[in-house]
Amino acid sequence: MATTTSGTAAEPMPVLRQRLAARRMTLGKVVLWIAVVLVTLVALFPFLYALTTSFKYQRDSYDGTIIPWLQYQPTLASWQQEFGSGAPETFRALLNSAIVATGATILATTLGSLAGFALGRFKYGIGNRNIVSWFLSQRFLPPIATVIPFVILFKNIGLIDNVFGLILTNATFTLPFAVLIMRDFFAEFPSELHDAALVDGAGHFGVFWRVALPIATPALMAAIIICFAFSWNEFLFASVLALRNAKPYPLMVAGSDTVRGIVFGFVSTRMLIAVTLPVVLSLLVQRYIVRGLALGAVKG
Amino acid sequence: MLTRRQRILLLSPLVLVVVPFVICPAILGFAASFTNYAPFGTSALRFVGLTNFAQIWEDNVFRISMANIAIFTAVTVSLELVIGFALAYALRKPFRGRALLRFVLLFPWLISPAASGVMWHYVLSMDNGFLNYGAALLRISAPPYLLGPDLAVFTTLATEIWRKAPLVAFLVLPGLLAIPTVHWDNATLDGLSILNQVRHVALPRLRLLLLTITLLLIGDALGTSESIFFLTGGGPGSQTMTPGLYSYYKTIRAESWLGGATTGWFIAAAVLLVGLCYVFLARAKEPG
Repeated sequence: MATTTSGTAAEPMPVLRQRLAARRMTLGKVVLWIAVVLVTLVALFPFLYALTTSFKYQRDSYDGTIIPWLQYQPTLASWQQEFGSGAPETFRALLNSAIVATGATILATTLGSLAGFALGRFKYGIGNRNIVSWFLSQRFLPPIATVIPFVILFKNIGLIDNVFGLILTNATFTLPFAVLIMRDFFAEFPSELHDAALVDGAGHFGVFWRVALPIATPALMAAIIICFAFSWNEFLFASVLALRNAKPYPLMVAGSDTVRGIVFGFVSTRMLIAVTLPVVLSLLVQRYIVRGLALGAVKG
Repeated sequence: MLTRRQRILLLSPLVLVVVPFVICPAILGFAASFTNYAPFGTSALRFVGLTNFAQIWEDNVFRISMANIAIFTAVTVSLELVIGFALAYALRKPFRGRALLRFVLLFPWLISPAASGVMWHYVLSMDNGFLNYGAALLRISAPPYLLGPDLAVFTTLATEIWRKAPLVAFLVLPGLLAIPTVHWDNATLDGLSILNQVRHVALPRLRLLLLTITLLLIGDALGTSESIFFLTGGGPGSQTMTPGLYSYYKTIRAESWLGGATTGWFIAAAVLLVGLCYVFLARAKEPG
């Protein structure tokens, strides 16, 4: 906490100034904490609201109350419906989402790491910049612009309403993130390390697999979170390509209003379920990213 | 150096996925927008030139949506960058709970855009939202209707910034931390103000990172659709209509697949323009 911030502490300070400085430090601490609490509240507010709403009866779910027992009578009805009578549908959709997001992430980060290594380390005749910007530009083709060909293509090869179809589409959407993140990291990768490994008898692929990739773990983890969360949440293509068997969970979150009007308690429940897996994943992955940060700091 | 064959080998898996599943659909989709194609139609396929593009362009709602998205992108991206950078700067020095806070920063982005739209819609809705209830509880007059004609635009901007500014902080922080503290100390000794410290110490070193993040944000903003679909549905009127949403409506509601796809190419053109700017700005950095 607030270690020496200025380098001017060389000469001894008069007592008064010291006290003033100390007071400024506590004030700074308080301001910092108020800011931290505020940011946390703002970031988490909809989640907290959803949490409390998910325990409400339908009749209470529109009145903005937040404290259970005190302000409203809590109920497990929404959760019971989701994991009781609705369980088969729920688990099927969650499983679909998990398969799609995992598959797409593995595909995108594998290809992305290879390509990122190639683009970050070696020069290509047509110019690395062109290749990279081309990757980026295809990320920004709005999905809707290519949805027709995908429907035709998938109809012909039997990938409509199929998780493999969604794995492929999501992998193509997230590939640019993976390529970009990995390329930026590998471009900073010290060439002395690369050369040393070569001298030790490793091939270029050996350098990639045994030296570069382990060091790149933090970048890889960041790419994994981004690709996973993106595929997990993808809505548009899923809403066109997977309506029954391969239906992923986001369609259920958005579709919570079809049964009997809009059941807000139910929407909240599903939103919380939907966000659980990405949150757990990023919690697991966070430590790798932090560890990587220390490495970067030493290097700088 | 790698042999030519090895270098091509490193890129080939990517090409094998990208060509059939990105390039071909893109070319076919582009070609389709010059025809009268309908997925379930029976009429013979005909070349219709720019008719589809002209139709979209003449639609007033589409024009409004283009103007909207220009403002939307400019405002949200710049504020996301400023707020995100400020947050990251504040988290620069370690304090207890920082790791937790960094984790919390990811939350708004981890929720799907659709779910975020649904959530905010209910929190802010007129008769029974949390805001009105809170106001009544505190005995202050009810806040104005945030999704009404006067404020819907600002609310839409705010929820979008809520979703992405923390992500910017999350992405910028590692870069900020990688700058050796010596540079900050020197800047402090030189008596630079905070703004100047940021300008002279952080910005030059984070240039490429910030540029990339900016590009990603812009590309993302230009295609915004689901979050607004569930928040305001593009209304009131067409106040918060975006091209992405417009094309969604065309495809799903009007069942005009071509209309939707053609709109998509208008967005693609805008994105391409931004991409060109990125290439131009980023070209200083190339591996040797």
